[in-house]
Amino acid sequence: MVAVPFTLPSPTSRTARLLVTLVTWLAILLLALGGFLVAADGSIDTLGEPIILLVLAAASFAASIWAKRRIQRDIDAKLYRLERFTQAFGQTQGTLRSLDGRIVFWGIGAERLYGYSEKEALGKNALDLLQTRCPLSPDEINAILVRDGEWQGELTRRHKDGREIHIISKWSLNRGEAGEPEVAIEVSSDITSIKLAERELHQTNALLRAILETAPGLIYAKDLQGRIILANVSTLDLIGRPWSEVEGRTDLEFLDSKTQAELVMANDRRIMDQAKTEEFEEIISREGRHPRVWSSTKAPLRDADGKVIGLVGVSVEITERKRIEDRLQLMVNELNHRVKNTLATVQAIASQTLRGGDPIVRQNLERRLMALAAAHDVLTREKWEGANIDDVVTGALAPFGDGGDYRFTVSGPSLRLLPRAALALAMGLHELTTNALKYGALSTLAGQVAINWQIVEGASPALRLTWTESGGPPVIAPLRRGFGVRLIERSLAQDLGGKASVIFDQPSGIIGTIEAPLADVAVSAEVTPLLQAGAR
Amino acid sequence: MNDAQIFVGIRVLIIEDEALVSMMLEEFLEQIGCRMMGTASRLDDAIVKARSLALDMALVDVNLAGEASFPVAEILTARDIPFVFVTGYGPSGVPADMRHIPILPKPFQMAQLVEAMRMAAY
Repeated sequence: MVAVPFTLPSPTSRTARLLVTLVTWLAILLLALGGFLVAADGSIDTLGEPIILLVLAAASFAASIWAKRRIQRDIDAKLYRLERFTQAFGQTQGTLRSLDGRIVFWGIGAERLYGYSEKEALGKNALDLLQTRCPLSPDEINAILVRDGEWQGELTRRHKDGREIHIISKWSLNRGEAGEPEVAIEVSSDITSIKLAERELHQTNALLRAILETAPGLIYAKDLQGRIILANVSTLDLIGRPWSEVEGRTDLEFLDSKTQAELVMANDRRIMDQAKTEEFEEIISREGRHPRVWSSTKAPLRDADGKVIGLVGVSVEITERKRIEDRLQLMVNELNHRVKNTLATVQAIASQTLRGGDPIVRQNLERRLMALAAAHDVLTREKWEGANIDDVVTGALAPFGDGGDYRFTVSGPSLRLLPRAALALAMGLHELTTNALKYGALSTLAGQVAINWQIVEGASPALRLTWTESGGPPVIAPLRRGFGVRLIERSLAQDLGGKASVIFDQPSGIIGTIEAPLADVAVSAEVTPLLQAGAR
Repeated sequence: MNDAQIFVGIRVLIIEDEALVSMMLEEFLEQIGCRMMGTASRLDDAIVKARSLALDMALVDVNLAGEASFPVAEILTARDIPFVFVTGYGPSGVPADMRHIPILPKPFQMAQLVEAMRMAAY
């Protein structure tokens, strides 16, 4: 496994070997001396010095063999440990190479990482085999190794299967006994997935930046203290300072009005505290210029754990829109005023024209104009977006209700009527009431009127309103239908896109029915109101 | 018109820019026995008359040919002369400090006129 083994044995082992050598030489010396004495004496019968010497020599040999075996066992144990260590090191994707680049150690970890077996890798140049791309040249890295003893950096290499892998590598220099550079130890980690994630992050950032810089509105982020941590070009343009003078600062330093800045920051604070996205309008005034109105959406900014660490905001200027809305509101107000004035003028004309004529006729006309004006009032209050059917009905009955509200029973589900339907219904109810006062249930003290409406479900749902008189005198159908009845049957049916009928010949008052497709009379949920921002 | 007896003989100024409405008001007022002291259809004229005429009551149109008649209202208030705002705008067309003044919304009938005048008088 190790192509160039570490050559030098340990000092203890050297002493032991020296001892063994000495003992061996001693044994040989004793043997030689003993032999010489035997030869000189010529006999071995007597138990003289030669025998003693030979015995000593034999003992020395035995001691030397025993010592050699101990040394061997010691070496074996060390080799075993070295083997184990080498295997373990091999698991770590560590490699060794000589300073000229030749691979001298290649473990199983390196094989897993790069795909090459030990046999394929040993002796090869690491830079060539792995197509290593370094930030520095091999010579420069070697120079650093020699100078500092280590070098760390990121490399790009190629796996045996051709795939590019990113490596973070730490190289250390191992020196020989004499201090000469011997071998470089390299321990590497695969950071390819980190690198890819980094690249992805970079792309996401680039995308985000592109969005930030091209979006027409202001985009910004603030930390918990209200300090700006991100601002797009539009925001910087508005502030009129470069990023370096904006980063980490608060609205207090940017806005002309400290009060407004505090208001904005208090609002931001609330959004962060409540951790809820909000949409609202912000008015920012500037010295010597018109205030600007912004529609802002602000959302809490969270860290990876979900903790709120600030807020992100998007603001779009709506100054011009607000101005148009205000003007439109003004015009609508003016128009309402004009309509009411015109009704008053019409009333005045009628009043003058009918002067000296039938006071009943004059009163009828006046009341009809009043009913129209009352319906108009309801619509004006609702900014012509529609009117609640309850309001329309109560409004139409109001002039007749003085102290007699108990005579009307009104019931039905809540519903928003379209302006045209509201006007038509108000006029129809006025005629029915007038008629009831003259000829029907309301002409007696006990008479009552029940007004009920409901939604008739079906393929095309309809609104059905009934006017039921009770407790009044018997009614007979008139020979000639008056204006009131015609107004109900014709005008109402036409304006509501449905049908309306008045049933006479009842024992105690008339019954009126109005039925119209719901779609033609009610405000549907999807309809965008004409004027969203009212004067109040 | 029993309930309108209280207005017999009182001196009234009409400030209204719409001639026909002004005429109708005159007719209504004559019916309840008021004495017509004058009419004004323009702000400057209205101011002069509100300052100089001897009056018990005034009917003041809020909008006089595009001009708000509130200066007239101030003069009348200063002179302690009761008055009614006649307007096509709702109560929102009147400044907050004048919200206590009765409003006669256009169009109106005799009964409403009398009611508004009664509220102004008390």
